[in-house]
Amino acid sequence: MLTGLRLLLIGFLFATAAHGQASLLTISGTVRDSATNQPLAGASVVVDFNKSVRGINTDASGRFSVDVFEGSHHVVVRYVGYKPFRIGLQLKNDYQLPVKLVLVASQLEEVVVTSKGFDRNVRQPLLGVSQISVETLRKLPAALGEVDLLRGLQMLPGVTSVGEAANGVNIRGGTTDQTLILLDDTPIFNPSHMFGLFSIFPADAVNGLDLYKGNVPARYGGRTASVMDISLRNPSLDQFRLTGGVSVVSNRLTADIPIVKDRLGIMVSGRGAFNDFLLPLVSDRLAGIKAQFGDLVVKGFWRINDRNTLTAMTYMSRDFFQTQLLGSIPNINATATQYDHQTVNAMARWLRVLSPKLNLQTTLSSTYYVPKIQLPELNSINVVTIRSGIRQRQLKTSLNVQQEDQKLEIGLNATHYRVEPGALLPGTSDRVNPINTPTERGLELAVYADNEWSLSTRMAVSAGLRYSLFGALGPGVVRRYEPGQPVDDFSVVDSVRYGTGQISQRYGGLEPRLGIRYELSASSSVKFGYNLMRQYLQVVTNTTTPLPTARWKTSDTHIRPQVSQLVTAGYFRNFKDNVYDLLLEAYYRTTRQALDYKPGANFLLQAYPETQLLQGRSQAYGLEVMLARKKGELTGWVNYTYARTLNKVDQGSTFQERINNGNWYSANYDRPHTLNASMTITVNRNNSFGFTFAYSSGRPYTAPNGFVSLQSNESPANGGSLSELINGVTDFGSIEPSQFPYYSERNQARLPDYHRLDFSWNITNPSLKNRRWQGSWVFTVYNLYARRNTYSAFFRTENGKTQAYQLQIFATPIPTLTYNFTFR
Amino acid sequence: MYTSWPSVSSRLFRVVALLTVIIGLSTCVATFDPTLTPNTTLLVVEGILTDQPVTQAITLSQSTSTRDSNSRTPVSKAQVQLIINGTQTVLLTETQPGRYELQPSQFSGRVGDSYQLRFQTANGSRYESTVETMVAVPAIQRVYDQFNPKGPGRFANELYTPSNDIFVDFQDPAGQTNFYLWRTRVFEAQEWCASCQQGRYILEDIGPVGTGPIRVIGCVPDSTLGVYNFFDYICRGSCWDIFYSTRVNVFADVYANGRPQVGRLVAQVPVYQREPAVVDVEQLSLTVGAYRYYRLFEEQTQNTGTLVDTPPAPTVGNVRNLTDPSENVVGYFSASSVAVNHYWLNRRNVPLGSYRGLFYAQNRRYPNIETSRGNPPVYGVGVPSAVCIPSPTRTNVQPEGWQ
Repeated sequence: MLTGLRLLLIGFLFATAAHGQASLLTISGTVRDSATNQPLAGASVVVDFNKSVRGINTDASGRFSVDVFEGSHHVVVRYVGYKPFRIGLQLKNDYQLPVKLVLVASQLEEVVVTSKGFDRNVRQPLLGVSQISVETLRKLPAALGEVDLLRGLQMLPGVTSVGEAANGVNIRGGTTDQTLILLDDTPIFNPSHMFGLFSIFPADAVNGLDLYKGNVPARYGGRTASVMDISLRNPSLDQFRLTGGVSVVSNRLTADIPIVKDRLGIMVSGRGAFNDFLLPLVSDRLAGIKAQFGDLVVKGFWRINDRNTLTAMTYMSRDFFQTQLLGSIPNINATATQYDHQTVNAMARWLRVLSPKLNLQTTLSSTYYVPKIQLPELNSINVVTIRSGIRQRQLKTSLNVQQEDQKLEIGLNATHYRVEPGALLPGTSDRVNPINTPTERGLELAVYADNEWSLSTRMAVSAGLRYSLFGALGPGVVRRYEPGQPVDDFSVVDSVRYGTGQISQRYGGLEPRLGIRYELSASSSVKFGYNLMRQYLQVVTNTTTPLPTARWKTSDTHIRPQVSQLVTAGYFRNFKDNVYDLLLEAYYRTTRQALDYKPGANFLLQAYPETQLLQGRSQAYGLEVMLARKKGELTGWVNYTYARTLNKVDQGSTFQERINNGNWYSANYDRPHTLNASMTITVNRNNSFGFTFAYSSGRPYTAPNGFVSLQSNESPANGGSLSELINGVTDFGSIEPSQFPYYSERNQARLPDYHRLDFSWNITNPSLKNRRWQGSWVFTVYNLYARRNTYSAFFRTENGKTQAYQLQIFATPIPTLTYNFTFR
Repeated sequence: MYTSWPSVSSRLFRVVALLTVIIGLSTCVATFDPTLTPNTTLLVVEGILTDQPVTQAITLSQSTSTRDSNSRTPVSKAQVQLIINGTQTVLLTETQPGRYELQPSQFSGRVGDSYQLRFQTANGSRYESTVETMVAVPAIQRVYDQFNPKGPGRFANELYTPSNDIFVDFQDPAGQTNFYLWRTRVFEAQEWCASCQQGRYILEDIGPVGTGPIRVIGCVPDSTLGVYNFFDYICRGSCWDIFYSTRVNVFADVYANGRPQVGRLVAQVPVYQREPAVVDVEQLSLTVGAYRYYRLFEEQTQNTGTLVDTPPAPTVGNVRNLTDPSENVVGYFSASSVAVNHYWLNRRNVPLGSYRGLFYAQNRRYPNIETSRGNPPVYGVGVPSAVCIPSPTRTNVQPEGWQ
């Protein structure tokens, strides 16, 4: 395989060299932020938009170089969140073009969703790439004043969740774990703080977010639905800067510290929420809640010389919470259930520029996520702990070749997974036994090539191919079950022990990725896409949304990898000088070996989770329409999505092995109709207002199919001599039976529709622009008209009758005031 | 440059805290009125055989749910047999519609014996349970309680009612997997034995007043009283109301085999009055099948309303229709060994204060004593006290453990 790579590489080097014979001029330069002078990596530079597609992206140090013929040229440089730079040039010689882009925020003009590629909608061959700038998110009304990437994303078509306390998002019919979330190339296993209320990404340190929900480039792998690639800002190399904010929930502080001017700098960004002592003031019901979290990012950037840069990043996050809203752990006697989870992600990336058109990027990353459940014992200071852990280490290397009308990336990935599914640690307790479930190990290797090229002025193709190979590694014991029998503890025939490093099971296959764009006119295009993706690491859970402590499982002999195929087609159009964008996309997705679980499944400390699991099929389809206005005093978008997600599980004839008799049924997050609207109105230089409106069909839930009357817990009372009874009028001998719900079908009912309007008011003072201290205020009201949205419905038997209840989160308007500042 | 920051921060924070209206993440629970279209007819088998010297009973009923109503009809005239150790057959007698009993003289459960239930309904369908073996249960070592000012509310949308939380300690036997179920019965002293709506309570002495026999006539309507007029009558002798646990409470020693078990919460007895009570705690052994059934039942009828509920699934019992195997029979026939403790709940840990009393908790009003019998006294002279009529929820026999 390596030889092949080398050949390819040589081939491309040769092609590059051969190209040099044309007598061309070069426009080159560096794209920087006008205020901080930070280089902007990945900005798109488009030359002569009207004539042909000539677009490239700037490299990691913001540099670009384009070859053009002598004559007049029109250059446009774009970057999300920045005002586009346009210039007309009359060229006779090579030209140095320093570009300083102005942040949109300081111009009070909004660019909504655009891309760092060519003009996103019309020119990029990838479908379903949404790029959202942090500035856009900052202006969206936020719950409790926390700028939240995951909530912001849910304003885009195709992104939903099970509700306000969802621990993750569902993208185009995928489960939460089918979306790969990367924070500066390191995976995130639990994307939220305080159980779904806030996302873990520190907004002040985030540079941008790419969400690939359609075509996923071949450089990404390991998950079957989509990729959310979040990049953190590089530190400023020339100016010290302090930014921060204060809100009810958390306090934030970010410092950019240049160490060697233009060479070396670090950025430190921290956030902490320790205000849970305020909760009982709000409501007695919250008295039992303890919730604290914090996160910290340290990122360093070192420009070693003109050809080499080194980036290093570490991200840490910690959460602690206790609430009765999460239930308790069966079979351990404890006075409370506390959740404590932390993650440490680290990454180092070396970029070597081999030539202006060729660079080599190598990344080493490590993620260690450790969720714990703490169970304090009665009349004891001891705390019993259930600890699990997941460590993922990865090496990625890629060679990027930038041609005039072609962009090629070839790479290798190696990923090592180590999953500790759970250990019960008694502490000093003599009341429980120490239990350790066997550690799972897996190795995933992948080689890929991605190529984007313009076949003609009208047609562009992005084609990628990935080959992934996964091996479940020993040591471990693999059971063998009697064929044709349900997989459970009673059908075990035999078991095989594998030694350290031995492969107990191997999976793998090709993962083709294709995107085709055909331009109908300068302002409209059609696109088509196809993807196949394989997933070897997944969350196994039977709750509506995974708990932070949900179990992750690598594929093994019994649990086969999930394989998903997605077909998309779209139509895009720009109107009125790019002021409006119209996007129409349809997709169909199927997944094999989608995970489901048996009735009453329990994964906690389970050494053989295959006895609890079922695998079935899933299909999703949908239509997304989005209209955006990108310029002017009023910017924003409105989108409508029709989407369905259905599952089918039929692994055997017994009712333990099939769900809803083996028929298709709605997934937990199947919400057919969604309408989102977001609007920002810039009134003047000091004030802007934002509104967001979200509507979606209620999600499915399982309602009783009937009721049964039980005397379930009756036991004969001692005593009660009936002989003394003279006028026997009481109906004795039985206690009034209680009525209990009886369930037979899953997800056949729907919760009421969800809708909500939020409001925000941003107050800035541009006259302070040149002062060292700049402050701004954001006033938001979440759920403006106090809609009492239903998060879940449940049934309880009380006083003999079954009563239906609904659980509501954020059922009142929530006003918040946040103060943000910058000091430089 | 850096030093000015912390003071600014704290001042700002104070300003913000003052300016901000904190409503916070207030979750709330409200009643819900879903449109359900129930359509099920289910046979329900209930019965836990025990090794206690009491009457053992199996009940057979049918629960029918339609869009309009839910009903329970006893399944009568069935032939119900208990097979002991696969050889001996005992026939159960129907004492009330759908209730089939074994008297202590006929049957006594024994640890190690295996039991199977077989029955044939009047329409000819034959049913059979799995074979259940009675497993030994360890003794309860200690029962104790703690006052909990924030005990569970009686309804999901109610905040809380103070409670006495009852805990048990026991020693789990080593070398075997054990499964447990707890049931509790609370005996609370009851002062009020009868209530009459728009009427008066009449009780006649047949023989010598106070010592002779009496005749209870009960509530006699009096149209001169308002329709919603209630008169309440105190008890003639000692009387206790019995409250049964309605929650399923199961435990498996999968994480604690052979370990002393401390602080298993078995009941949360609401504090309606400060008077002492007796709590009967029964610790039952279960088979693995029974445990799984009850655990699933517990999960979907009680442990609901969290942020992460497990979608419910059918609870399938251990009785199947031999004629039609696809019929899902609800309920689990099981055999349990029982360890009992009669716990004296003295309630000395309940803080002094005004409690509305048991009567209020049961009737949502205070007792109203009849004042005048009219003139002439057509209903007799003096306000009578009422007889404590034993029933499954009331007894006039001092409960075991009463001090």
